[in-house]
Amino acid sequence: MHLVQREKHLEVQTPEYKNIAIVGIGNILQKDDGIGVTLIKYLEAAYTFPSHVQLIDGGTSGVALQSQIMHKDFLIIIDALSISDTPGTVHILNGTSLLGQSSDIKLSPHQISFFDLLQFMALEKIAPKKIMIMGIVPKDVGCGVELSEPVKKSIEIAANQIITQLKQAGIRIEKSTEKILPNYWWKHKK
Amino acid sequence: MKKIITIDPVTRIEGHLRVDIAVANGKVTDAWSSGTMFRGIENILIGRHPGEAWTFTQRFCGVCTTVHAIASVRAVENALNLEVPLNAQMIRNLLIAGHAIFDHISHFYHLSALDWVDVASAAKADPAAAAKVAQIISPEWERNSVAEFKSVKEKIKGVLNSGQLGIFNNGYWGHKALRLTPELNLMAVAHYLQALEYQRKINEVVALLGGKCPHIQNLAVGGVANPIDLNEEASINMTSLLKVKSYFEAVRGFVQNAYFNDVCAIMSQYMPWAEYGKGVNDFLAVPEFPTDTAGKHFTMRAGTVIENEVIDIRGFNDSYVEDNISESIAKSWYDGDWDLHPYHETTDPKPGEFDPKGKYSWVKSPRFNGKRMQVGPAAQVLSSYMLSDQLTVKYVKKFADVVNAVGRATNVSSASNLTVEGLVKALPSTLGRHAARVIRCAAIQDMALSHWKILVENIGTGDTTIYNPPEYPKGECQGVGMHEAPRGALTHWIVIENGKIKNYQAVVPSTWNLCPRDDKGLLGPTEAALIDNPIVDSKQPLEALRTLHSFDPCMSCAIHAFSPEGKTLGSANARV
Repeated sequence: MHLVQREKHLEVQTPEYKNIAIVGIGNILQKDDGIGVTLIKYLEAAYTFPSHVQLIDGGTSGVALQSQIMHKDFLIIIDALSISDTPGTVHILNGTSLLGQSSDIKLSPHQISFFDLLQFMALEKIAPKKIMIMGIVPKDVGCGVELSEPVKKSIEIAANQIITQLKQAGIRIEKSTEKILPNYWWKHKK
Repeated sequence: MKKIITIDPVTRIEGHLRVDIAVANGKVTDAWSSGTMFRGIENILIGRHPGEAWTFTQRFCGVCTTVHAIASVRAVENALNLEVPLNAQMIRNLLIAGHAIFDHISHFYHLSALDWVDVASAAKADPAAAAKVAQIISPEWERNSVAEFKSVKEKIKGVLNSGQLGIFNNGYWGHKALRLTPELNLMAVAHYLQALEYQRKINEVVALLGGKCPHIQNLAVGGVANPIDLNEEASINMTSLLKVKSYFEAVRGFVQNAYFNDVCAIMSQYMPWAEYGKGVNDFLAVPEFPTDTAGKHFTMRAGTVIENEVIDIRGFNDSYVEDNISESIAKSWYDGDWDLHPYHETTDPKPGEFDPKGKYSWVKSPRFNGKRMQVGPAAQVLSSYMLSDQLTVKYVKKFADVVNAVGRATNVSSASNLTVEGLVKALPSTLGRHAARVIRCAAIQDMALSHWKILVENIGTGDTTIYNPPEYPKGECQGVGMHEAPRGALTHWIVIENGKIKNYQAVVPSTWNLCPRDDKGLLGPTEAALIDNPIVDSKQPLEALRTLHSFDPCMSCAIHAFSPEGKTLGSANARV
């Protein structure tokens, strides 16, 4: 009896994904474009993640992330999403189905995007099995290190959505016991 | 209006580039290169501590990350007259090498190759015949097997049949200007796919030494922050050093055989493109890979080539660079009409309309002693060759040899007769710039292995110094940091006042190459290179893309072709 119960318990606790990467993409020097990296820093401070969940500041160079995301079971990409919608709105997109979309003529390496890398990796069968994109609508991507008010407000909402997703997948995530301030190093002047 | 959601985290990072070309009688007759997005990112640095500038500058751009960190610490060191310990120079050199090899492989295969290679044609190739041709071109590359080519062909067919073209959607398939045989196309596509693996492997050098990739964490003004302790697991020790060496060795075969010989093969089949796209005939490159603490001696010497005369830049303190660079805003959307030294520049944007006769770009026009200069691997290889730089000479000769061999095997007499002098002359051309890039890449591989040895031997003498602490003086000082980046000569200019940044300017390679006309109406290097390029199909201006890509422009861009009457002929909008 005990044994059966224990097995059941184990089944629920077995995570659906053995390894997960959460990547924040964007430029912290361009205001709301820095939301992806900001969220990574926020999550790092607010929660404790198990060792098979990696949080990655992808910064401005998604193409350099190949070895860190290959063969992952689940990849979450956080980025500013340029569509016309209310700033601060959080969108969840199924990245796996978006991968089939074509990319256009490229004139500069800036256009070999993170997305192209994922398409390449899919062709070589080393891409993450499941991809989710979390896009936050920016208000201002001009030069500067501060987020706009509506995007600032989206931090907690977006973080909660990610945590809920991961918990549903059976991953143990604890809230940090001490209050740690996120390391937004780019906002402070030494 | 079409509404398309584009998820593209990298396009908007560094200003967009738009190129307009006028076409008449199947040829480009005029060209305008225009940066369409204002950048004022340097302003974020003002008032900050010079010691942390590099952590910000490496986020200027999504491609050239490491390079802006390197140029920044060198600028501060130059201002403080601070030397860097030998270990730190070597660790930096290995980082620079890892990043450059990654960048060159990515640029050639993933950005430029489809300008010359037809994926649809590759799907029709005979894998056995392709393996036979590949044997002649790259006899030492073990992955040119019939089995490998068969599997690549199946992969391509799978993509074609699925209708989801993904990465292959970029090419102008079946374009009249594409002329490789199906077998050569298949060989090139196989290497295009293999490139992904080698690009990943070489990036491990940056991740290991930099502590994080992208955006390294191991630099410091005065050296590096990688502690060296052969008995400590968390430090640079023999295990991590051997790993670094193994990453360089793991990509050596691919670069020396696949990448190098692919560029030779493409040149041999497209010899006229070693003539088109010359651009501006004066060149600037800076020396790289210092071998001493003061930055006076280098593995790759370089300098200016002005009216066919080379002048050596003799170190990071050579005032030749500092005295001669200025930027002009004659044709750029900034307030005023000045030509100023980077230390004294201001950045006051004044948005305007695209006016082909007046101001039409956000890109400023850098000048060397008042002259327009072409920068990039062509400038580096040319000046290094003229200075008899050993590694450069070795690979220039090898390149000509391989082009000759492929020319003979495929009965192209202009290729089989290409001389070393002919190749050197052709370096500033559309295909010459690709040749220069791979020559540089191969030379960097040799350099990396020899500098690795210097590092290990120096640690072996008991020297574990990695850092000379900087001292920031009261009052004002200024400095320039130079770095020969993958796209060419990069300089960062800093003015420090009482230990804080008073002014900061980055004069980047793409600014040199993609600048607008000057006040005398002389075209910028890319604009000039586009003139007289043939355009067989104005709806698909593939040839113009070839020339643009050869400069490896580091901006996202859109090209519009229009007739002299101003009617739009076709456009290759980058992203909607």
